[in-house]
Amino acid sequence: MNCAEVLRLIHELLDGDLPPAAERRLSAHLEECTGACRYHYLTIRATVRLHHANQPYVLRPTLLETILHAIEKEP
Amino acid sequence: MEASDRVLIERTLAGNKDAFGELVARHGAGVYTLCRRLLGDETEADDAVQDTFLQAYRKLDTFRGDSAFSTWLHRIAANECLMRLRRRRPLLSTETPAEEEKAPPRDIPDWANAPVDELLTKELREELERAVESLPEHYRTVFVLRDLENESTEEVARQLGISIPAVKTRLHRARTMLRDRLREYMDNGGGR
Repeated sequence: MNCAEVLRLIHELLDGDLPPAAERRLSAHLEECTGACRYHYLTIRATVRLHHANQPYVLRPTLLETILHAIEKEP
Repeated sequence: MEASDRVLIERTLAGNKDAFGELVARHGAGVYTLCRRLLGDETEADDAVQDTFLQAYRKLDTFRGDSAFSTWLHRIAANECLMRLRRRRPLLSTETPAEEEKAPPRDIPDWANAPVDELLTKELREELERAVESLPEHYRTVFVLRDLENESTEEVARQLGISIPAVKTRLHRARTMLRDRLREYMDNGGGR
């Protein structure tokens, strides 16, 4: 497996969509490669992880009150 | 001890509206975050959250418990938001093919391997939200549903009425755009 093939399959690897044998070959390549594919794999993986961990909003008390008031009016 | 969602649902169905209020307080932030990200607008997100909880209250007896209550709730919220987006204008269907990465190799930046908790400052959290908000709508919807809400590719395709390959293409493009923006932010000292 070469870098060009790995680059085409980076997202499938991140999503766990590859057959086990292909996943093993890709992971083995990424372990040893110092080329662009390793860079892209690690930076995209980190990007997704950071976004996934980010939970920036809370429910404002005024909105909670509005919702509860609307529920109160329900039959 | 805090009552479980299941207990609060049973109490609500028995006529206790305060129990539903507890469910709103418990799951409100997650639903609001989803609506805000999909709609990109604070006022419309407020309306969508309210409609989501009203719908959930009205059809609570149809919740079977096959999935978590939060999953059921988020599905209602996503449908509500997608309907609102369609009402604004048809969801764009133009695809930009996912570009194969051709950039030359670079040094692996520290942030690519650092623990997430160490990186997530208030400033970075805000930058990440701005980045999601800046994505074109047809990329943003797929990224939010697939990567942030953990829906399956098949479910996202069904909700948006597009093919599975189209979901993948949009998702890969969204991730790459977000990575490029994050790289620029970090390269300019945003991570320090």
